[in-house]
Amino acid sequence: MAIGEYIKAMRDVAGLPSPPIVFDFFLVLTFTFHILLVNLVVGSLALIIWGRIKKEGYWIKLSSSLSRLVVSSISWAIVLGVAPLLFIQVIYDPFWYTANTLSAVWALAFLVFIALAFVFAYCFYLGGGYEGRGQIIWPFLSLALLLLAGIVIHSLTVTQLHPEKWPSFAIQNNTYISSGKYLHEFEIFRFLHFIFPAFAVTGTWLIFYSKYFKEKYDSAYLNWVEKLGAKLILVSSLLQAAVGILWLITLPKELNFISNPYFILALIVALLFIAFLFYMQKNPSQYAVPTALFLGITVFVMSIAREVLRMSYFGLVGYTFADYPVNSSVGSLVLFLLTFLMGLIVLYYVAIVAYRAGKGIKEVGAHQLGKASVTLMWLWIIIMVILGIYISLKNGTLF
Amino acid sequence: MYPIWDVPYLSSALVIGLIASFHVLPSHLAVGALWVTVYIEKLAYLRNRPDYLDFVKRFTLLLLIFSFIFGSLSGIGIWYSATVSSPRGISGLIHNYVWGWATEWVFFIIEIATIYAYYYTLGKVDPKTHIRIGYLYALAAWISMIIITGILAFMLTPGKWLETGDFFDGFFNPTYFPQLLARTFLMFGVAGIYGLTIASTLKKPTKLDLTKIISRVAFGGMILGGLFVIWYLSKLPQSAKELYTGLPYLSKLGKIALVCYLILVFYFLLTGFVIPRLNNLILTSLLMLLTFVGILCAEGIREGIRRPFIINYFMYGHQVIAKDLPAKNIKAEIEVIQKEGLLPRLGYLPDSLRKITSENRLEVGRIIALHNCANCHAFTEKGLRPLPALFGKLSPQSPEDIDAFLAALGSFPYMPPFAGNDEERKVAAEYLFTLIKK
Repeated sequence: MAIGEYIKAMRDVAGLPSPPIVFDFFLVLTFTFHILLVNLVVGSLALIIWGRIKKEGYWIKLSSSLSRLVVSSISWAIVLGVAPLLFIQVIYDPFWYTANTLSAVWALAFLVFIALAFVFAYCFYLGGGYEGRGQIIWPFLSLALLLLAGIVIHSLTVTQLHPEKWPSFAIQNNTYISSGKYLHEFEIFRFLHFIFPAFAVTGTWLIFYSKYFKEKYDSAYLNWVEKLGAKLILVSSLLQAAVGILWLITLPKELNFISNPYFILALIVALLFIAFLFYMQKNPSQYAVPTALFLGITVFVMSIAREVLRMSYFGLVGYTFADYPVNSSVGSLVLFLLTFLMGLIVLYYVAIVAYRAGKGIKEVGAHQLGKASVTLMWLWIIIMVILGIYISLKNGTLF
Repeated sequence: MYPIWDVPYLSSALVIGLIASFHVLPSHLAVGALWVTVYIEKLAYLRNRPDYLDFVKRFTLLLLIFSFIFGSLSGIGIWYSATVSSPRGISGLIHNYVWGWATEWVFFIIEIATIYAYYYTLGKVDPKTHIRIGYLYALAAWISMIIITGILAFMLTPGKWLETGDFFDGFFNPTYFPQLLARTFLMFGVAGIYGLTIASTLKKPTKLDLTKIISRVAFGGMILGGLFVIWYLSKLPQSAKELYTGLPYLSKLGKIALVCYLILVFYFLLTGFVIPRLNNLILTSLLMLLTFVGILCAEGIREGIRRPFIINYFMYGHQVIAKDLPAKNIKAEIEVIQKEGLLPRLGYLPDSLRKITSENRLEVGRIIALHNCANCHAFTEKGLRPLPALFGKLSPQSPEDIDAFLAALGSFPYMPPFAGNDEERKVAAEYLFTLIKK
């Protein structure tokens, strides 16, 4: 059995409940949000460490604010990572499961690293980090562990891209390695391409920070933060471009990725973004929203290009999700889509509360929206209970 | 078949079991906590007791750290451990319930947004808004339980899904409602024990007041939860009931879980109605440990009575499909594998290990044995259901004796039939024979 046939045979027997492109869309979309948050965490931790090393007034103040941002951002990064984790298993299951089982110990260690990184971030925050104190060792350990987790997930991803190597990964001296204790792949430029944007995302956040706290902090400090943010985005994006070129050069020739229209699109968007970054340096906070939007679009287009690259790799062994059998489950898709819409409403309300509270407004208002959010949640429960009772009665399984 | 992961002493399934049992603690805390906290916050405003808000702050911080570090990561840990232990099992669940999980994910996001807002805005926004945010969290967390229970219950009682393959037929299965109601009320017990831990660290008048309130809520939850457990047990399939009474270790787990439950109920009764001052940090810490043991046993039973299946009646523990599901064009695999062999399906191996030769017999035998046994059995001398000891008890005189035993596996109600053809079974037996200490 050639590896391509094996992969095809390993697709789940149940098929997909919706057309594969739906999962791919949500995979790319949710991954974009996830990686933005991951980048924010990595960049913030690096700035906290730098701030603690510098020990100057502004840096201390900034690292205090970042200490609070980091703990909540890790939570967001984790929860936003759940969705792409789910969708990748649906359309790329043979690749995902094989790579993970071949490096099983590392797949589990990945979560241990994140858990410890999270704990250490809290150690810093609760150990005085928010008051300008806190031991530098905590953010240092936290960042180191997150980078280690990044290396693991990167290695597992690259292992998926090379199914032709799986049989050689599976054995050593003609003996099957059942321990799952080895990581098998690492591509430095690909890895860096995911890490460098950390400073671009954090830089964007700093610009928003300087805008948001205009009434709370002194303007000299906020000007400094704003300039720092703008500089970080620019430098980080230039480094990202350089490492992107190196990654491109090292890609297998047979992929011919350089002429791929999605790559060309990503390249154009990235270059336009860099040009914009030069333009916005003089007055960054005036361009806070366009910068964030442009950054988001660039990362999204990059994610699409990376997804197309993955498809090209899989195409080499004859795999495409397009012919994955579909056993349609419209009801469950509708359940998700309606819940997703409802979720946006509830999140909008919570965002208003958090935004106004952060500004020091005690009477936050938006009560109608708040009431509607609660009502929608109860409505969700009531509909599910009615549906559940109806189906259970129909199937004779309730009593 | 995917590569197989062997975990010395534990077995790969126990890795899932341990992570999953641990996860119940922070996840049920996450579900139950804010119902209690929001109620206490309301009392704080009604009775003009700002000291109660100190409890709210501390409890929420505990929730943030414990549930949103260890809870969320152990939740993903269940996925990851299932991915590496039983990839076809988790794949089967995901390919049926992906939109269910995606729906649950929306509520995870709401949980994260609301819990941070709740923690950071305490005292900074008007009470009405703050309570509403807490209430939204409590609802989102409960809904996440409403969803995941459908998938958990499906694994034991897939019900009509076995005929229709329909999402909702499997989701609203025979044990769904009793399990949901049992978990819903028992979560107040889990939240209660954490609440009492925090309350024990407060100053006296507040401590006694809150001990009483929390204990009473927890007591009520435990009693109602217990009643729904009885309903749940009555809904179990006959095969599960027979396994429970037939396998001594399951009955033992049941007794331990019951004792843990009774001790907790008794504690809540004492601290809620008789002597609230009894509540202290040492006792609550011990009871927390007891709660974990109780949950471990209960989850162990839930998993154990499903043997030999991952998805009852549909997929065996060794990840081979047991039954046709025409609605989804799924064909049973076990008979085909017994005829054509397992090796043709192990495409991740090099060709040198996919044909049995005189040189590779033992190694191929090991691989076949791993695929059949490693999920539930340790291959080491000691550990969970260790194969050397189990086979040693049979006192086999030759590999043929083990081969005969493997051929008859399917006749045991809790064991799946051997997945492999005659030759593969023979080399697996030869390998397993080498494990037994002479």
